[in-house]
Amino acid sequence: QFSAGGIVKLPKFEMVMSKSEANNKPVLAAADVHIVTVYGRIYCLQLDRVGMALNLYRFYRDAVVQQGTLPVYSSRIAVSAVDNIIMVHQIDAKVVILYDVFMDSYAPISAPLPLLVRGLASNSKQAAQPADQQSSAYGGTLYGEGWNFLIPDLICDAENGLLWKLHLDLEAIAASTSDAPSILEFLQRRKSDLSMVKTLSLAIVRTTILERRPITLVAKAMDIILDSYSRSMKTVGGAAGVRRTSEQNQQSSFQPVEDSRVVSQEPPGTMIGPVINTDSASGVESRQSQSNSGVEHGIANLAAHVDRSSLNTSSDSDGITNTSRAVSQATSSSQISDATGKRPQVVGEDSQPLASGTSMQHGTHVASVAISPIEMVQSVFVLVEDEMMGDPAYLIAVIMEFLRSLSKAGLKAPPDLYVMMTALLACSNRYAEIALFVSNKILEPSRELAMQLIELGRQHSLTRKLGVDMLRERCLHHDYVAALLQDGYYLEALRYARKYKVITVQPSLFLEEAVAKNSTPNLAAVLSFFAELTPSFKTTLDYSRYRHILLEMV
Amino acid sequence: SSAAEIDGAQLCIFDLRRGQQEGQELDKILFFHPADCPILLQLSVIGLCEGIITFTRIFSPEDDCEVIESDKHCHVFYQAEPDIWMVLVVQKIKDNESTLRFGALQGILKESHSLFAMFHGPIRTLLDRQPSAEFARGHLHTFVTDYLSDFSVGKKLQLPTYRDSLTERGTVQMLTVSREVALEVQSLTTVLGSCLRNVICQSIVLFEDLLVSTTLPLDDTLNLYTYAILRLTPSALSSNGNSWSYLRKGGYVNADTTLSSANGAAAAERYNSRSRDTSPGGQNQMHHNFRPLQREKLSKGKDGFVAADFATTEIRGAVPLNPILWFHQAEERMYLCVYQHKNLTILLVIPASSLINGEEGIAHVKRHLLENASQNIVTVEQKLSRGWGGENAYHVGGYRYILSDPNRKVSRASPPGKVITLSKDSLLALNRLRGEIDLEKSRAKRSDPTHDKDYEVCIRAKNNAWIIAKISRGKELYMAIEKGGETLLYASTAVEKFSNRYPN
Repeated sequence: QFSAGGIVKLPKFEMVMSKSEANNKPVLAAADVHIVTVYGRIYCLQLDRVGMALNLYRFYRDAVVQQGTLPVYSSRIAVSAVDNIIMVHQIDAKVVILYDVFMDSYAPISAPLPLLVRGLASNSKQAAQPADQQSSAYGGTLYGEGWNFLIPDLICDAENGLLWKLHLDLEAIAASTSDAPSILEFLQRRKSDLSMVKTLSLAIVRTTILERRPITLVAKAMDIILDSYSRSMKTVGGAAGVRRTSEQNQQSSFQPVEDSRVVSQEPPGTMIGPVINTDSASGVESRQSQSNSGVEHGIANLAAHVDRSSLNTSSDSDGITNTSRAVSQATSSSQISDATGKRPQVVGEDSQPLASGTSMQHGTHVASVAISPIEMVQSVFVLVEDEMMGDPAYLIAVIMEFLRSLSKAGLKAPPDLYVMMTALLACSNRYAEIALFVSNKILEPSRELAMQLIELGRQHSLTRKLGVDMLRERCLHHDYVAALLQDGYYLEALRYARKYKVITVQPSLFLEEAVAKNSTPNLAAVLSFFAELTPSFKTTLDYSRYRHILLEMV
Repeated sequence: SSAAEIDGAQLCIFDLRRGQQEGQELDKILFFHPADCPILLQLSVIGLCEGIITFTRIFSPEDDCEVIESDKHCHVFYQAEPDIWMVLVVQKIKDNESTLRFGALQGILKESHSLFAMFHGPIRTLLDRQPSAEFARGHLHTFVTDYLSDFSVGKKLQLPTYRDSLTERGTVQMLTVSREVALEVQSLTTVLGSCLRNVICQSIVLFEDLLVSTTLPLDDTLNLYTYAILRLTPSALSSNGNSWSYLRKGGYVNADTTLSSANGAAAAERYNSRSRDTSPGGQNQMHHNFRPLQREKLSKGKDGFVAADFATTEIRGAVPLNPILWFHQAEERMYLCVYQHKNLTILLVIPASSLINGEEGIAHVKRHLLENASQNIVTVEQKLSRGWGGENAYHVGGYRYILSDPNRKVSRASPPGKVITLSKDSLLALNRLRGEIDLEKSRAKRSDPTHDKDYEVCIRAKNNAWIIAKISRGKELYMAIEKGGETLLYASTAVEKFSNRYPN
């Protein structure tokens, strides 16, 4: 095993074998052992044909630990890894079961899904005719005899001389399960197709809200999203940069491959073998456009490289028990370079020379898989608000849970959200709760919120007062004095203006109030106050005008 | 007057629309305390009150007569509902200083009426429904008597005096919680609200004797809070069964022990309130034995809910039912369901119309609550107790204060244990000052009802304590500083410091 420190021989490796032999009577066939790398961890999957189970071992630096057992529903299986997902192909049943072992959970992400051949159809714009032929030719041969599963995510179809690449159809996976929190968790861990992850996640949250699912479920969903956001915020500095540079290296290292080795026996366009859809028959979606494949290509390169190196390491140590495997590893890696080398070519044919460029761009956006609170507000709450007006209580509860998740993750909510929440509360006449939330700071004070409260105060004077008080607490002196004046508290406003040296409010406003109250001494006092405060006041038009009024009043 | 023959205080409730013919005066009286007072005397007290009311209307048709002070008595008036008056007659103690504050006394009348209306609906509605007024009298009798039992010492009523000048009846005391905990509580309220599938339930959450959260409007919150403080919180419950005074004082400690002995689980009570009649028309008031304020009957159940055991003498036997409440703003009757976990008390209010078969529906709601909210309740309770500073949490060294916001009906005061350390002189002066401010406020209100006026008064009491009142933007602060400096400047900076620290 390779490690940062060099080659480490896997210790206790025999133990794995003995262990597996203990519950596996027949001799362990080489084909029954699969090695996959997900999340940078190396797993060994060993098929127990008698028990119809797949034993999962994880290779640590100095130990091999059995992690769990995955059920098997077919006598022939194959294992692939795409984007840190372990795919177990149940060849007899022609379906794939997906596992995301990140949190050591060994439950399948979704129900078994069939493979879908899609690359050709989607290429139709440029290569329509051959594509159609190909896809019809392929319909029957899914999981055909000639399929060779190459680690990590390639399938070589020896009969037709095609190389398939596996992709995750996140949309389909998301659609196939209704357990929103777990699917969000799954999505947030995906590294490929970032914009898709994001739109999907937001859409899922939106639908859960619109479907008025139980609050606890929505709360869990928000927890997951914000969790992943705060995690990505923490790592954003270092990891993103590293990832970007490594990807650049990938690009450059593969360029020569492309030039030197042009493998031409495979028809162009076949390498896109995307994948899984709930209704395989329909295959209507042609989401995968060329530009998309270009994007995926860049990321695939990265994955391939990582996988290959780590696979090499494991196959080295594997060598003792499994020579044939080592051979297949070797071929697989060469195949990978074939495939990856070929990809840009295809893209080039489709006059999309920006392939590497787009992948780069996505590399820089890696950190933004996570959805920020602002994005949540803008593309979830703002969008659902209109539709939820019939049931503001539910939306309020959802926002409340969102705030709770935010505070748990140590994040701040944008003031717009508070403004929205206050409006919702007010329109269901829950003014008492507004007061409660303001006083216990659930609605964090801000100028925007204060203004909203003052606005709502037209219907409910106590709420207006809350807003005015908030202005004072936030030391928004100008706004506070203006609000006091609006309420007719001109003397208090004047006192406050003197104390905090607020000189931005027009003197005429104060004077107007004093005139409106028809109080001669007060008007005189206000006049002389301004005369003293600002020496130039005596020369202004206001001064002479109100002096005139004052004289008339007397 | 003849009322002088009676010791202590009298409380009467009468309806000016009734018994206006000569010889039918008795019909006016809806309630009289003490009940054993001779009828003639009752009539004369009420006659005098009616006379005063009519007379003062000549001068002030807009505003009701509020208080009449005579040589020996003080009549406090409160028009609870149109033409239904409550009058409290208090004998004056022969003392130079006035020890009573009219505002505090009127607070009792207001409180008892709004509690009554919460459980039985407005008096006028009762009278309209049954002109013979039998029910109205019966309910008023049991309810107000139960209410007054809190004030009675022996046979006399111990009404609030100058010693209570740092309390404010008719306000809610809030628990200050951090934002994080507040959000946690809010999420609990959401769960509580969803106890019924289609309708949102309202709830009030209390910790110890302090309000943590509410979804109800101000008035209803206040009424329910008041009721909870009187009878439902752990400290109130512990004094329910046993009215030994020493137990009452150690309320907090006792609440803990009694509850932990019940498996540390929540104590449950249920009110046995009304007849089995489950039609929407079925109401508390049709049942004579509905006495929500009767201490002795409140007992603890085991399922986590509050239960009461009335009606043992009734033919029907004990039918455990939840009381129906009347709310000001909702205009709908509600069931009340009380759950307690350690020091956390949850009052769940369920719209009566949403429960088709009352009792079963409630049982369902309770099951739902136990299934879904238990975890939240435990977490919230833990968080609150961790952040709880104890009985003296809101004590501010050197100050004895009450800070109240009559608009929002919220107050916060020095803990009672600290207030009793004040000398009599300070308290008397404070009481006096509050009386003056009350007068000033009502005067200002008459001249300009929309405009809050700011006041600040510092006075030096006989014992050299500073007594301070400050009203600014509708918020009132009264305080006494006994060990203060000599100068007025000292007093005003002390207030300034205090207000800066507690901007609310």
